[in-house]
Amino acid sequence: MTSHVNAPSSGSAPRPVSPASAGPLPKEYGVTRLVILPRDPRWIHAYWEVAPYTWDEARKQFGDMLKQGRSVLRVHSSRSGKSGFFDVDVRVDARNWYVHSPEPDGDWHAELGLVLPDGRFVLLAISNRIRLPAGQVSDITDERWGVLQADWERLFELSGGGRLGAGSLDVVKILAQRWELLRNVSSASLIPTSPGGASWGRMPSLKKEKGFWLVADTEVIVYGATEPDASLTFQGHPVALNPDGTFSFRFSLPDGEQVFPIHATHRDGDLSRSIEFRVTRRSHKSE
Amino acid sequence: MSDPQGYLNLVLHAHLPYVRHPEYPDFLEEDWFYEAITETYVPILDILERLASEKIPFRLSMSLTPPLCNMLSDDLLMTRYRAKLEKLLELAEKEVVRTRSLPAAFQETAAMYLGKFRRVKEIVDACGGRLLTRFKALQDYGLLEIITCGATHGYLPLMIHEESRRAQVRIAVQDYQRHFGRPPRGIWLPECAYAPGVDTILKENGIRFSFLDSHGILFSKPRPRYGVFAPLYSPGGVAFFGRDMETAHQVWSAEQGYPGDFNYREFYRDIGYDLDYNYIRPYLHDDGVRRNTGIKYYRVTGRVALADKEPYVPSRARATAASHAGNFLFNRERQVEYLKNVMNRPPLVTSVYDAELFGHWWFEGPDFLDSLLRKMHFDQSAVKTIHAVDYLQKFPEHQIAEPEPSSWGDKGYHEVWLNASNDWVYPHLHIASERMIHLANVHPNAEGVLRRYLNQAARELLLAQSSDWAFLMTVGTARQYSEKRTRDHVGRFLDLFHRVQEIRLDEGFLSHLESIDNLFPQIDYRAYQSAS
Repeated sequence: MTSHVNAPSSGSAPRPVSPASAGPLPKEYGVTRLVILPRDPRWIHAYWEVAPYTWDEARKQFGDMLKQGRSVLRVHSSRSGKSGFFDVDVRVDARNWYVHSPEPDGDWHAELGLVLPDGRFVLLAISNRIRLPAGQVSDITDERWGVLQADWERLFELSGGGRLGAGSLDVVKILAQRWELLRNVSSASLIPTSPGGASWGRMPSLKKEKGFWLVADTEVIVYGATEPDASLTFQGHPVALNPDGTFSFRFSLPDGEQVFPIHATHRDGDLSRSIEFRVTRRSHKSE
Repeated sequence: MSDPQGYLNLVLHAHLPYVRHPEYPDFLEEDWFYEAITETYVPILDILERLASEKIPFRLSMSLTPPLCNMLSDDLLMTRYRAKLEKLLELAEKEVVRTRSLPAAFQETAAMYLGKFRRVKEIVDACGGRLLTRFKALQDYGLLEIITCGATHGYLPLMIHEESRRAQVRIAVQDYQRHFGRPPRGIWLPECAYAPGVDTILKENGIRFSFLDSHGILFSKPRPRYGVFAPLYSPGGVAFFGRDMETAHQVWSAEQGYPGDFNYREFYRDIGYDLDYNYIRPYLHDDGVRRNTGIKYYRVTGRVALADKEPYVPSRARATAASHAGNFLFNRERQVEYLKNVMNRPPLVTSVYDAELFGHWWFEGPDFLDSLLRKMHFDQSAVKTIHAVDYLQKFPEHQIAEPEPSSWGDKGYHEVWLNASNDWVYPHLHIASERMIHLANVHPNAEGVLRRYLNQAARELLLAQSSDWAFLMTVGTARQYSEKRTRDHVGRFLDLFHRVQEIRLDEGFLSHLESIDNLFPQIDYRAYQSAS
């Protein structure tokens, strides 16, 4: 779908809340849990929730000692028969953490807990198990599918040699890059000029002058939409909306700064929205 | 005919998230779907059908994901689409008149759009809007291999419950059967994302092959003998084909890629922005904001400002597409010729692309594809297109190796779908998933309203799991919408869950959700039961 994500030129229009929208999601679910997720060969994402019942249980067992405990994520790995762990200091109320792994590959799980001054570990939650990617070519070769090292290296290179990623995100990236390029080369307005009679391409009224002449002017159009039964003011004056709630004004744009405040009020008078544009024109004439 | 020196396995991944809002008469994000039909799906279908009718043999694989299949067979969306197409045709007709006073290039382009849109309408009308039946026919002829995907394009490696991963696959397979009359043989893993154990789930659902990004194969254990130029069998017995980077870069690369050619159409210069507001207003959304209409008259031109773009010349762009197809084929011939010296079997080049690249963003992409398939048939015999299953039949022996956990996203792993902008979704998705499994296990044979409640809960969970939402949060486009979709579906799921737990099975509430989140009409919540 990614190529349909039009770059900055077209965003998602804010919409009213859907009838079946449930509002904000719960901040917590009252369940003690620790989950780890692999991000890439070197990073693990952990998130957790410690429910009151777990704290009660821990306090029952360890009493005041708990307050002197150091809260940690204890991260366990097991790789080629070797296992070990390391601790990462975390605040329990941080609720999630990105953990850098000293090595890629292997099977991982984690425990959230407190290390007491006497070295005991108070387990609060234990995680699921994950495998981290290796991030490199395997040392293991297959006897049955043997190949000369030189041939393999050639094939590896031809296979792309581990040049990663030209997938979903890249379409968006390419589109965004091209948009940036267009912005950079375009010092003037981002709004494209038109070949065939755009409103701002209209000829202004001509005033004949003696000899050679040139006249030019600028116009600005302000347009938008709101609820059809809302009341709208533009530069402080009430204006009538079209039956479908849209409005459009076209103005000449003289030198200097113009301010176009737009204010919409709900028919019940209790909700309102405002948008303001400031447009500056600076003319330069030369004989 | 003698055997070719090598094979090309060409795969297009067609996917859009399920966006359907009956509660609004007009919804901006539904445009993704409408634009894709007009610009990508129908043009690709059209060229494949023409090749078939001219008896030009080709082999192409396409994933048509379950959300996309459900949208393409949804009456409301297809009715809305046909109304949109009528408006577009009306605009294209006006454009033919308007451009009469403009230089010839504009007239030629205006006529081209009108011709294209009329052709789309003809195809859509001829099948009564049921486009999937036309894709199915191509599959039945053996030319197109349609593969499935995760039920809602859920990102499997970031699911912590085996049952949730399995349900994504099982529900997809059941839905495929409904549309195509037979089970799928292959799957496009959502975002090509693989984690150990996924292969076993595929195998138990009858899936024989899938695709990985190149490092998914290159970093597998043990080391792959043929790099990405032959598939591997995973320990679970599924064949995995690795993506070839050379063909990827020829199309994708921002600098050297084909789509950036100066003769091709400029995506960003659209009459939705260029023309007089009152003229274009009837073709904009209700909010009246200027947006793309799909009609564009300029070419890429070069590194110049939008205002300095030069007019598009359709005939020149078509010629460029043909020459790019020739170049692509020439490079494949050289590639297999070279590869066969370091391999003791014919190399297989697997080229995978987002289908929406062709037509929507790379406007001339379908012409390129058409040219390529014709040239492959008429101009040479060194490289042949082949389907994955036919390749596996021809060359049944392959190395067994454990693929690298990976994806085709930026940096190759899971970061696009797991970073500070979107990691907040997982605590909710995992709770919902755990609760869905619980419901399925404690209600093994629900009937009546309870069954409908459980089925709807499964739909809401699946919709919340679409990898598209996390993706859009990362790229920052349609972020508000994707955050809202996540909240809505998780919220609806939790609501359904509580009502089931508290035995408050209100039918009105249920019917409302069934009418808005209506995909998978035949869903069976028992896909979430734990294996006994």
